[in-house]
Amino acid sequence: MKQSPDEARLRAFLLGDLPAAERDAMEADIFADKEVFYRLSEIEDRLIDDYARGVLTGEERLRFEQLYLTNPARRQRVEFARALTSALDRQSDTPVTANTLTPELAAAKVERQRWWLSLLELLRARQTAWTVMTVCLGLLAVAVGWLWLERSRLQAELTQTRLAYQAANERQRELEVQLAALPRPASNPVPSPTATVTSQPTPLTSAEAVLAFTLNVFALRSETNNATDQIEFPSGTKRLELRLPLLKHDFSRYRISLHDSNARLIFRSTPRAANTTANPPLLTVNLPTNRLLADAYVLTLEGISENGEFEPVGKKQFRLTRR
Amino acid sequence: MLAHLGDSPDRAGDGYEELRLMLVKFFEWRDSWFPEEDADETLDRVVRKLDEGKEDIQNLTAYCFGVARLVHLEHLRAPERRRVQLEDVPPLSAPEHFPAEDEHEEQRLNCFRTCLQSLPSQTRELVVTYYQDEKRTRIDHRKNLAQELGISPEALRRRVKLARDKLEKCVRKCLRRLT
Repeated sequence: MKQSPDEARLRAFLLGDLPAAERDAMEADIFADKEVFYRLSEIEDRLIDDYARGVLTGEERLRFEQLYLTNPARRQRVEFARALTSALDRQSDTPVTANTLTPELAAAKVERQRWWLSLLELLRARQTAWTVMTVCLGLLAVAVGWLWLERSRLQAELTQTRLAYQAANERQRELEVQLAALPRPASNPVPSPTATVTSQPTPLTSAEAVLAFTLNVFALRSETNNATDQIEFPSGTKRLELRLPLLKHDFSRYRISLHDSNARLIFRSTPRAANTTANPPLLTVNLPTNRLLADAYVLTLEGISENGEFEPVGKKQFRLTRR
Repeated sequence: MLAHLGDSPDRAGDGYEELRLMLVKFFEWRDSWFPEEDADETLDRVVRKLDEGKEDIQNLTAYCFGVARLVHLEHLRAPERRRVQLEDVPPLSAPEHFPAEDEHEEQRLNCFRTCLQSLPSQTRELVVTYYQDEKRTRIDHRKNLAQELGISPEALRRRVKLARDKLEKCVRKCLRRLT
């Protein structure tokens, strides 16, 4: 190892190789500057350690032994250096020399390693936590997306089901109407005892499935206007022919309207003339039964004047029921 | 004397230890056989001078150096002062067993380990770490160590020297007990 001149001078001082004047000057420096003292002490320690390790050779080794082994105090320092270097060198094969010298140091090292391991574990745990959280968020996003799609699909299905339900209802209604229009075995409709039908219905003809009733249309302010006739017709009836005898024949043409119980217009006839060959004159109107439900109805009769205006003639309430 | 060494009891105590170490080393390097006793004698004389108050001591360290030189010269001139009559020496029995070198080395190692363990943990770590890489890249290693501790290389050197000195005293006492 190459030594700086300053260190060589210090080593010469320690081995007694400096002239007396230089030695005195060096001692003065030691007490004037503590750094010089500590530097010199360090070089001396290294010198002793080198001797204890057997690395001093030649003249230097000889000078060292003359000075340090002949002095009891210095010899003790060599003893200590032997212990120190021996302890360190015995562990030289072990990388962690400092911590295997004593059980406590080893334990302290293990503790530090544990601390670092704990920190590493913590970092790894955090990384794991982040990974798990990311995966969870991904799964959550997928689940939300799937739920949204499923909700849209179910809504579409619900709409289709509603439409199908409505269509089925309509179909059911149509089928009911068709079923009602089918011919039934001949059986005369029996008017309700409470009906105020003024004439018996004509016999049902299976070919046309027409049921004819005669209704008396009273004047609007007639006292009997409030009476409600009940018309019961079999399911197979296709048309319902209403015959309205005119007790008073003032108009050349008439119009007949039919409203349900909710005042909705169900049917309105074209202007037509009364059959004056009959006595009294008779107005006839054919109602398709597929437009009629079991409900209460109001039939209105209007006369058309010469100037085309409609004037109320009479009104009749009746209730239709199916068998 | 402590007032000259520091403005607080702790600093004065450290200063005293440091001054004593310097004096011990001075006598060692002067090849004294009893460097510690010589150092203590030097300090006693300085304390007495301070108590007398006759001298205005500006630089205590330099003053101690002067006194130490005188003590050393006196001992060189009167070596018989330390000699005692053989009759005055207490009788010592010869050891029954002189340890072989291997055994002695084990004793040294045991003492070293015991004393190392008795040091505060930080000091212990410092000593071992400092000398661990003696054979390796020493300079760089110690610079790094000083940086890790947040102190200058000079402060590190001082701290390690004081710690080694304590450890050395302990091992010396331990070996003395065994022999």
